[in-house]
Formats: sequence, C-alpha cells, structure tokens
Amino acid sequence: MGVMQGGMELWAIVPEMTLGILVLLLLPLGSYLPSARKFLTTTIALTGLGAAAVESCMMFSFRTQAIFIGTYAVDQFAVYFKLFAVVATAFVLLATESHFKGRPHAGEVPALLLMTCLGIMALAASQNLALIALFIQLVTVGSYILIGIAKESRLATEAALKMFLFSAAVGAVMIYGMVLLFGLTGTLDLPQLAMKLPAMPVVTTIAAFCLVLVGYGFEVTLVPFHTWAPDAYQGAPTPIAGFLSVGPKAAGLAVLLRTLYVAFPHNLGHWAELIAVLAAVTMTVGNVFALRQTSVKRLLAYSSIGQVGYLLVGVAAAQRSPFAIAGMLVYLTVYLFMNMGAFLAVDAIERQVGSDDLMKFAGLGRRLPLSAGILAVCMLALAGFPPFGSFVGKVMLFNAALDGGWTWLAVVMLLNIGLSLFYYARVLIPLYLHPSQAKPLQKEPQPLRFALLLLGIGTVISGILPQAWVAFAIHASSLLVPVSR
Amino acid sequence: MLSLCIFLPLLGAMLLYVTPNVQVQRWIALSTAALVLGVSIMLAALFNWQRGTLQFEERASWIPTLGSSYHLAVDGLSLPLLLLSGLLTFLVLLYAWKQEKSAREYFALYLVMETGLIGFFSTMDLLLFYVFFEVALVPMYFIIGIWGHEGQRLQAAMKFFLYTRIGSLAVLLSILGLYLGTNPHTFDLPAIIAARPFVGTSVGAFLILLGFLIGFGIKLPIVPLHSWLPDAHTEAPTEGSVILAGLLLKLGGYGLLRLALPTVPGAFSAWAVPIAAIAVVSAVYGAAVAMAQTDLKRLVAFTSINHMGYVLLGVAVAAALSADPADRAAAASGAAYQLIAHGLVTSALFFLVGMLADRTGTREIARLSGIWAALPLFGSLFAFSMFASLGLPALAHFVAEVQIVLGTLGIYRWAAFGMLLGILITTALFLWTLQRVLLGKLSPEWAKLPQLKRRELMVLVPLAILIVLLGIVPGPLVNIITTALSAGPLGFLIGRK
Repeated sequence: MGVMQGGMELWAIVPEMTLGILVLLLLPLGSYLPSARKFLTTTIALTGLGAAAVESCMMFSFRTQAIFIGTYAVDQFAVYFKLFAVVATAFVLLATESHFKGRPHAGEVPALLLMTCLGIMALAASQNLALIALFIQLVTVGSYILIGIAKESRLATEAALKMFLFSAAVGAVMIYGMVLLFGLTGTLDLPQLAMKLPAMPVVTTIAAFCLVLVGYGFEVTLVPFHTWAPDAYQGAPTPIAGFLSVGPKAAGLAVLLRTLYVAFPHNLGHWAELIAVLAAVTMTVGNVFALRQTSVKRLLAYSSIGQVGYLLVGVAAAQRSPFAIAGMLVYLTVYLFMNMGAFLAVDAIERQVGSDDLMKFAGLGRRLPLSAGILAVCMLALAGFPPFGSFVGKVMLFNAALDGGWTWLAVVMLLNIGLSLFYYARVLIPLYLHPSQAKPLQKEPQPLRFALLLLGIGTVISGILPQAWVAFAIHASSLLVPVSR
Repeated sequence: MLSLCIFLPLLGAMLLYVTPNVQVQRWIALSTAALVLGVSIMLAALFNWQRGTLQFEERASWIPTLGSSYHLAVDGLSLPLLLLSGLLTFLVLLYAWKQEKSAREYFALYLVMETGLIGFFSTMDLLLFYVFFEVALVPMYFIIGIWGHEGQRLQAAMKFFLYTRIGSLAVLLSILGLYLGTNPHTFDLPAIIAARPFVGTSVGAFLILLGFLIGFGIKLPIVPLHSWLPDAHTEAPTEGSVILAGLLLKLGGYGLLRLALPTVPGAFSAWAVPIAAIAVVSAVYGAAVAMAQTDLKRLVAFTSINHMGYVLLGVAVAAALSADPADRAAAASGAAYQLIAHGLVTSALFFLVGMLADRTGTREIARLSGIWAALPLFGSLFAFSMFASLGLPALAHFVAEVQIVLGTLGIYRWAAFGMLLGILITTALFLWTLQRVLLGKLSPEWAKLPQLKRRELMVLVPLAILIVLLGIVPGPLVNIITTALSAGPLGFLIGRK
C-alpha cells in the first residue's frame, strides 16, 4: 500500500488542499480589506467551499484504500464527513457575514471557519493516532479562537478561556493514552493496532483506551466530559455556537467510530456495552439539565448533549446492527439541519431582541415570523416528531438498539425523547402561546433568511422523502477496514 | 382517492394563507372540510359493502431501503372511522365559524389534524401509521394551549402532550419490534401478519403487546393511564373537546383492533383476563368518578373513560382464543361499533355543553337548573344525547354494548356483570344530571337565554339523525366490520390460532 509513493497521493486530498490554500490566502486578506469590502472574504470562502464540495463528491467513485503509508483513509465514510463539514461551514458563513459586520476581526472569521472545517474533514479520514491528535488540536484551536473572537464580550472571553483550559488538560490525557497504546504495540496505525492489541494485557489496553476516550469525549461532549459545552455555547457568538454544536461533534463521532471499529474490532474491553451505557448517561444528563434552562442557548447546548446521546447509540451498535452506522449518518444530516437551524434562528432573534432569554421570546411568532417558524420547526424536529427528518434517524437508531439486543437502551431513549419534549415545548410556548403587544421587528438580513429557509426545507424534506438520504447513508456507512478481517 | 382524502385538508390549510380576509378563510376552511366529507362519502358509496375487506388500495414506494411503502387501503373497520373524521371535522369547523382569535391558525390546525386522522385510519404501513399518529397529535397541543379556557390550559396542554408522546413512542418501539422480527424486514402490515413472527407467547411478543397496551391505552384511555384526559377536556375549547373525544380517543381502540390483535394474538390471549379486569375497573371507575363531578364538561369527559372501558373489554374478549368464535366476533364488532357510537354521541354532548356554556357562562352543575323550560329545543336534544349515551335501546350505543355484553357473557361472566354495573351507574348518572340541569326550578338568571341558532342546529341534527340511524339499522355496518375483522389479510377472528 504505497510506502514507495508516500507523498505522491495528493489526488486524494484535493478538497483539504483547496481549503488549506484558501485559509492561507484569506487570513492576511481578511485583515487588509477595508471594512466595506470585508464581505469579499465570505464570498471567496463560500466559493471555495463549493469547489471543495464538488471535489468531495467526485471522491465517491474512488477506490476504498489507505494512503500516506496507511495513515489516511479514502472511503465513503470519510467523504460523507467531508461533505458534512462543507455544508455546515457554508451555513454558518451565511450567518456570520451579517453577525460580525462592523465588528473587529470580521475579516478573519471565514478563514478560521475554513480552518476548523479542514480539521473536521481531515479528522474523519485519519486512521493514525498521531494524525488524530494533531487534527483534534486543529479543530479545538480553531474553535476557541472563534469563540473568543468577540473580544468585546466578557462572556465570550471567559468561554474561550474555559474551553482552552479544559481542552489542554483533556488533550494531555488523550495523548498519554495514545502513548500507552504505542508503548504496548509499537504502532499508532489503527489497523495495525487491531492486529496487535488482542495479544496485549487487557487491563493496560482498557486503561489506554479509556484515556483516549477522554479526548474524543471532549470533542463529542460525552458525559462526563461535557461541562465546557454549555458555558462555551452561551458565551460564543450564536452562529459560532451553532457551528460548534454540529461540526466538531460530528468529527468527534466520526473519529470515535473509526477508532473503535477499526482498532478494536473484537469488542475488546466490551467497548460496545461501555458506549451504550455512556450513550444512555449522556442523553439522560443532557435532557435533564436542559429542563430548567431559561437561556435558549444554554438550553440548546444541553439539548445537543442529549442529541449526541442518541447518536452514540449508533456508535455503540456499530458492529451489531446494519442500521447503526447508517442510522447515525441519517440522524447526523438531519441534526445538521435542525440544530443549525435552531441556533441560526436564535441568532436572528437575539440580534433584534438583544437577549436569548426565553421570556423575551414572547409573541415572536407574529413579530418575526420566519425565524420563529424555523425555530418551531427545528424544536419539533429535535423532539423527533414526524414528518420532520429526525424521526427517520430515530427510527433507525431505535432499530439499531433493538437489533443489538439492547431493549433497555431503546427504553431509556424513549423516556428521554418523551422528557425532552418538555423543554422543547417550553421554547414553543412563548413563541406562539404568549401574546405580545410589541411591534413587528425588522426582517432578517437576506443571506441569513436564505440559510434559515434552506435549513427549514432540509428538515422537512428529509422526513417526507427520506429514501435518498437513507440510501446515501447506507452507501456512506462502508468504512475502510483492514483486509485481514 | 384515499390520497386525495388525506391531502386535501393539508392543501386547504395552505390555501388559508393566501388571503388575509377572515371571511374568505372561513369559506376556504369549511369548503375544504365539506369537500373531504364529500370525497369520503363517495368512497363509502363506491365501497363494496358485500365484501368488507381491503379496498381502494394504493401503493407507492417511499423508503424501500427500510422496507416501508406508501400503502393505503380501507376496509370495513376503517371506513366508518374515516367517515366519522370527515364528518366531525366539518361540523367542528361549522361550529367554529365565529372564531375570532387567530381564526386562520385555528382552522389550519384542524385541517392538519384531519390529515393525520384520515391518514392514520387508511394506512397499511406501520411507519406511516406512526407518522400520522404523531401528526394528529401536535395540533391538539396548540389548540388546547392557545384557544383553551383561561386557567390551567398550558399545564393541561403539556400534560396531554407528554402523555400521548410517551404513548406514541411506546407504539413505535412495538412497531420496530415487529419490523425486526419479520424477515425480510418490512413495515407492511399485511405482510407482517402473513409472516406471523410473534403469534406465539414468546417474550418478544409480550414486550410488543406491552408497548401497544401502554401506547393505545394512554390514547383510549384506560384507568391507570387516564389522568391527562379530564384536564385536557376541561381546558380545551368546545371544538377541541369534540375532536379529542370523538376522534383522537378512537386512535387507541382502532390501534388495538388493527395492530395489536392480529400481530400478537397469542400473547394477547394469554393476558386477556387481566386486560378484561382492567377494562371493567376502567368502566366502573369512569362512571363512578363522573358521578362526583361538579363541572358538566368534566362529567362528560369521565363518561368517555367509562365508554372506552367497554371497548377494551370487547377487545379483550376478542383476543381470548379459548372463547367461542361467535362470541369473539360479537365482542370485536361491538368494540368497533362502540368507537363509532361514542364518536357521534359524545361529540353531540360536548357540542351541547359548549353551547350551554356559551349562553350561561358557566358549566357548574350546581348553578344550572330548569334549562329545559328556558330552551325547549336545546333541552330535548340534550336529553336525547344523554339517553343515547346511557345506552337506550334503538340508539347507537345500545347496539354496541349489547354485542359486547353478549360476547363477554360467553367467557367472562364476571366481566359482563361488571360491565352491567358500569352501565347502571352511567344510567343513574345521566338521569341525575338530567334532573339537576334540565329539570328543576328555572332560576330567573337563565330565563332569557337565546334559543339555538340555525348554525348550531345544523351541527346537532346530523349527529342526532346518525345516532338514531345507527341504532335502528345496525346491520350493514356490523356486517362490514365483522367481515373486515374475520376475513381478509387483517382478519384475526377465524383461521388463526
């Protein structure tokens, strides 16, 4: 597998290279452009993302293989996440342009977003622990700069600092775990680990695995490594919070799944059961803590922790049920639409109302119909109501849990979805059920309206005509696995 | 044709947003509902009443990868309920003609709900079944939460929402259990029944049955799961109560007859005795608690629990494989007939209570008396509906309850006596209410109440006619229900063990 031609396989990372070049171009350009022309950086970034999307689509026809001395995977799964990152970033860009207009560092935001996007893309394809550590750092660094970029806001600075400290500690633990694995087996490649680990002492392996899990858990906001998320999302500029709740989480899930699926194929240390329990804990903690939040952003932060719990069911059952990975991917797509839609709608509302307090949302159904409508759709979708897309994903994840023989997990998930309705409905109540005499507000800026509409349509269409999504996800759920299996 | 019936209301709901003129919106809403009713009557006319089994089948691919298709059909069990949905939605919109507060949204929600209901009654695919089940649920939350009476409406709406959501998710889990148990995996109901994955008494079958019982039991509602119902009815607007009692409760009974009985017959039969016991408790409890109510609307709400208890009893007897097939058939068709009868009678009662409350501004039984003297026509219709509800012969409920009692007598004599006790209490209850509200001294406060308007009569008269008609000529309906339940791909009464 190409030891001879390592470095000659650049054809397989064209989307990543496109973004990398754009980042290098946009970073200086952003700060030099006069403020009236800062929007150009967004335009260029969107064009670049378009190009990266086309290039990624073309990769679907590539043969599944490992490149760069077996450290980087070319498979459908990775391509799926490349597209996912591109789409998520594009939606955020549509919102950040008007959000940061006139503020310091408006020009750098697109470049930083692209950099994080690049990190997500690369992370989903890496199958070497060193690369994984590297790209996790890239995603994290990008994330906390983006959080802290609103320097004028104390909350944002605090959030960035919190995330930084947390991520530094967690990153160190993770790397310690990776070193342990390296010490045990002498390799960092996931497929090689798979071959060597079964012969190693079980206790050390499990210890190392758990340490690595800490790092991944930080990224996916797995309970108990989720504590940074509510503060970070609340302090961050709202579109950035939306991005963080979708992009890095997806990357974390991808890398978690790939590591477990490729490096621990024999259910070593019973990781499937462990993840199933963690999934149950994560969804329960997220949903319970969301119940009493009054800040919508904090509520959405806890809700996204709960949602990750559902997604983790797909990871846990990956080797037990054909529905698991596909279900996770379907759910992830809809999650992108509905969660991003919710955050962007809150952003649109927050800009005019000046607060994300639930009490301030009274009567917005009449005062700001589009944003309120999208927010309502996204809330119902997050709660899993048909005909919105999330129900197909939930059905598949339920299937995965039942198929994997975990009826208890399905029941826990059921109770959680029922519970979550309580706080999702709490957001709906002021929007429509509380009257307000205040005047209608201004319409949202055009790009944001466009993004909101697309997200809303995506949420609905993916539920009414789910066949294409399901087929696509099943196609994309084929991971690169070592030939020996 | 069925698709037309399902999606016309949705189209009408969208059309409402074309114009800001409230008068035009009223006409759009009402004519949509009338059109749907017309289409469903046409369906009934074209329906082959001799055959009774699945007709008007439509099939298109939806999610082939998951084995789910857009598969519609109606038979003798679902056709009457489909007609009932069309009729009640039409009457409700007619009644809501004068709605002032956010009229457009109000109409739109009823139309969306109609889509969910008709879809639920006419689909043969379990995933679609679940989708329509939920679509019918969400609008009711808003109807109670926005247009409900002042007071506890938000809490009542939330309680309704949470209860029914847990129920529908339980149903979903059972559906997925059936799906995973069938090879190849499919959501198609006839295919699952034909494959018979859970006919025995395996653990899986019991779990699936449990999910169905919790889910449909909440909807029905049966006694330990009923506490959302009185609150929802107390707070809901009149139109909301009519739909809630007349149609949403029917989802539970229909679900048990359509999904649970044919798919897990063995497990159901094994649990028939405890289920029958719960049903009797439910019926007696509902009647007894209704007796203690001081609020007229709450009283009617509790009689729903009583009536639905009989439905569950009928279902339990129909499930008992050891019973005589003729008894099972009688009980099953009685349960289905009870659904329809209750839909008509209780809707009439809720309309009447609403009209009375509109006039007097109160639903306190203690404050009302001598209404018959003040409003002779209204009083007569009210008395008529109450007699219908207590099961007077020659009216709709009688036919249903006689069948259930006859079926039950053959196998669970104790349950039949329990049910008779329930009927006795209901009779006493309604006679007592009649005496308190309609008879008695007319207080001067109520002497000058306005008489029934033409629009209100137009709402009540069709219901009254149907109640009489179903009481006198039960033959054709009982016939198609029985054939639907015994023959055809969804039948469970004959030929399966």
